[in-house]
Amino acid sequence: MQPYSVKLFLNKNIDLNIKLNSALNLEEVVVTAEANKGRIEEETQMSQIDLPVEQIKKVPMLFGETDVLKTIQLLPGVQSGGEGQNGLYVRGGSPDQNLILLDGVPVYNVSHVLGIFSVFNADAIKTVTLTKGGFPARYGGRLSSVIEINMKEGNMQEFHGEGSIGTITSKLTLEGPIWKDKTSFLVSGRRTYVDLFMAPIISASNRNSSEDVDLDLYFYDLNAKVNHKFNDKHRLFLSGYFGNDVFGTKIEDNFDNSSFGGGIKWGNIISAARWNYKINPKLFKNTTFTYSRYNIDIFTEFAEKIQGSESKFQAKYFSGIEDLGFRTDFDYLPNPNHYIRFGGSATYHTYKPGALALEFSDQDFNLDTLVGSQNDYSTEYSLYVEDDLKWGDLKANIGLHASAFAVDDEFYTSLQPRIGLNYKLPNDLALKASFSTMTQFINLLTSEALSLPTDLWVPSTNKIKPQQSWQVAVGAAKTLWDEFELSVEAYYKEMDNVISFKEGASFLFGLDNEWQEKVTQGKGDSYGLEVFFQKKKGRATGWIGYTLSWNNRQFDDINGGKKYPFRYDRRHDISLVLSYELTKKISINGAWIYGTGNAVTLPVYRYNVREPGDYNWWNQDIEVESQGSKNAFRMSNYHRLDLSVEFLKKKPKWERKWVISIYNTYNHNNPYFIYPSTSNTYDQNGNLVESKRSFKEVSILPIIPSVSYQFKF
Amino acid sequence: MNILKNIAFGFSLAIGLVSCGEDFFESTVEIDIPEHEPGLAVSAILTKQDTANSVYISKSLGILSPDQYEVISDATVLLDADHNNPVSFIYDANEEEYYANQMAGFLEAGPEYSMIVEHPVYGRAVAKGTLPNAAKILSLTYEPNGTIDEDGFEADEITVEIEDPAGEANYYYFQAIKRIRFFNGIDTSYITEPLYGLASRDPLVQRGYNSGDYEGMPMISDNTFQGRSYTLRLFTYDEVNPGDEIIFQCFSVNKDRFDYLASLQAYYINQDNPFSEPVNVISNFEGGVGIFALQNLTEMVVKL
Repeated sequence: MQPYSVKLFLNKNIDLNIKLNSALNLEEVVVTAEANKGRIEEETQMSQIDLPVEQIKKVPMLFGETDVLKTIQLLPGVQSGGEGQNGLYVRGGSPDQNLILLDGVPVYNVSHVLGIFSVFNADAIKTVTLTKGGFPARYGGRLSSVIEINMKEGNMQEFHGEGSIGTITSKLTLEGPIWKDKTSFLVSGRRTYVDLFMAPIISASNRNSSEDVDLDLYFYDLNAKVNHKFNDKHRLFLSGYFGNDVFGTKIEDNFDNSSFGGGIKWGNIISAARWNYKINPKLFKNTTFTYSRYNIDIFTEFAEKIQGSESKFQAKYFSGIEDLGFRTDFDYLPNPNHYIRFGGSATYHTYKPGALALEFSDQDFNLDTLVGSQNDYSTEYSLYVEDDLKWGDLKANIGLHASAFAVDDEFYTSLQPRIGLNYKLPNDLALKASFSTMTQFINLLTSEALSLPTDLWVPSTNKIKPQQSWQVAVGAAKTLWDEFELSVEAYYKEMDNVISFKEGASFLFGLDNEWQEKVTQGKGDSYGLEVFFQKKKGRATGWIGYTLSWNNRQFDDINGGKKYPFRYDRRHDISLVLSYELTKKISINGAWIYGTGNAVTLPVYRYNVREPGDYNWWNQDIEVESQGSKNAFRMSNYHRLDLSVEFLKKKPKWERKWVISIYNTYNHNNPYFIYPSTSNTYDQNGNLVESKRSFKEVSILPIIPSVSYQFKF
Repeated sequence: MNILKNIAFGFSLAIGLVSCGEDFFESTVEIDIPEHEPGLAVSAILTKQDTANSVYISKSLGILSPDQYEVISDATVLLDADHNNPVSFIYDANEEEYYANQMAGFLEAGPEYSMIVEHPVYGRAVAKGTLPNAAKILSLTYEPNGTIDEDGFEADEITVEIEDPAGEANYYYFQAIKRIRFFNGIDTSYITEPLYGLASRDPLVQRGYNSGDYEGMPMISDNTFQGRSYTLRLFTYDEVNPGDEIIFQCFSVNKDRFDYLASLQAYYINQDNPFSEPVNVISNFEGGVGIFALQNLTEMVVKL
């Protein structure tokens, strides 16, 4: 060791970097820790779970494709919408009530392939945090949860890569320095290739037919990030996500010179520029500019040629949302007992609530028109201040979030107090409580009749009031034997002005440009108990989560004004996730999920009604099929076991892993949707002998084995 | 290595097994629907000014039941106000409905009425309701080609001003009847038929079920003009000629009837629409299903 001396004038706070020379080679020591996180009983924040990306990657998934959102669905208080769906229903909220942030930018559509995969590529992700309640004041704009997903920043020292080749997707991630210790990059891409496999099969099956079938069935996404360190005080991050789904087909019939096609396309663009400024050792500032866009197109086309004359019809339904935002956040640490955060944001929203473009042409007639909604615009503002403070055994996070929303000639304002408390009892048991109010100015209109990404983002208007909620939670948390974390929480949440389609309304607004006439607002309540028991260290890791919950809605215009169970009211929800390292080279992973069946509306009985027939109005009986009450029927309970085994081989400069997964291992028929069916029996003369009606429940994802090859260097 | 071989074998076997099905990704199972005990299904819509008010009674059936609907002919049907001399309805086999013996002067705005239907097999169904006060029609005009619709096409305009009774929530639906004049050079005769396609661009107007009009009929609640007068603009494309008469009808109904008509219309026009939200038709009978409603009618005639 060599002595090192430097003369300092300590008349102010200064930074001093000392570069050390290596003098002794030690055995490798692996230190693992969670940044800024202590033991669960030390944290003031409740209702929050950090998911390590390494743990996410171990959870067996459909087609072996690691999925952040599906892993979040395995946590207590979070429910999936249905088989294979990415929708998150957090403590009785709907998917639009989740603020999902990728590097601080809201993501409006999180699904690929009709919800089977999420848009988040786990190889590009550094951290995932879910907050279900007790929201700190820095968060706002949604009622039910905040999911913060941060991308990796790129390695400033060395070039690294990882990737995988899977059953239906492959991906590659590269990161490294552009300018060592100054600038780094990360690029991560992913694509499915079902369409590439299907093309020759379809072509072969149509060999003797006059039809050419062209199938588009793929998604791709690309994450990119550049991180530049100007000096010890200034850093700049540029990040982006670009993804698209294409799901369509085109059939050309060479016999009659016609073609028919249709499909659906949707995609996101998400980008952020963040400037990180260390003003002084106690004050930090983050300034972020964001851009986010989500578009969906549904299209159909038909063309034919008859005796040289061509006629053509095209229809395209499109909608979406676009955001341009600015945000600045300050972190101020005046002393060890206070951590003060404050800041503000402004976001300009552009909504395209649905329009229909029609084009028709033949030799006599030409039509090219746009029917439907005009764009809507709004601006959302927020200011917040919060303090994480300590007071002996009592810790508290107290804050205030103020937000405002300008739309048309309306200006909504909202003050939202937030408080979180942690009182530590002897034996490291912490009692926690929280109260938070939230306001949401933008809404997602979701059709219960469809499972397509046709949901529409629309603003609050002078007719549609902002959604509001308050939530109270109490709980206890304790770390057991240094390896296990146990938390138990009870919560109660009330929501006001939640939005829903009216009975009989259809999602196709563009046809009459009156989406506000087709929706209604009402109330919701949700309450329950959550238990989370987690093991984070050792050869065996995983968790058990249990949720007991009730979740209701009430709208004056729906169900005769009577309260009814929300579609995703799930009395019991259990998840068991386990990873076990058999040897240094072989690990096994499993996840078992159980959930009470979704509440759906099905006709239970039928009857005739008759209107009076005065003044020659027809006196006509109408058959009415009645559900008795909305969402009174339960689909079958959901349960599923997924398993995977990993074979790891490590070399000095690279490693590879084979992962064999089985989705729905015991091949349980999990409910997807229910439809009515009628089977008729005819005699030999073609007369109807018997007509039998029934209801059928469709399951779409049976046991599905998959294999993937993963590598890292 | 043996572990690897066994897993590879199991994996291949699993792939083989799941590939054998007719449809790899989809399976369908029939589900049980809760049994429905048949009960009374009642349509009792009584108008104060109607001299032949009737009640239609059949029975509800389980959704999977192969049975046909049948009219219930042996029920006891009573309309009671404050347990005082109830009016009884008698079954008419020709019309397959129940008619009141004597109802003149029985229906008045104010008291709560009970419709009680009893049957030895299907039990007892009871619904309650009040008769709202009638609206006053202050003025009525009919102007041929007097307006344009949302798409810019010309239509005949009906402008009606109604006075809403104060102190109660009122709901209205509107119909119009045309008396078409025929003159053969000697005699004049009239035939009466509905005026079709009565519609409005007024954002307060909703649509209610009307058996003669797929698009339904205009309805409005007095939320925004409680106790005051309101001018409603309607239009129609129906053909009328000079000499014809338009009988404009304004029915004052209670909330149950208003919601029922709205839900029935939503149900009716969306029966075969897979993209629409499910509709539950409103019922206000305890112990059965159906609708009991009392209506107060105001009419005004305009001659073209």
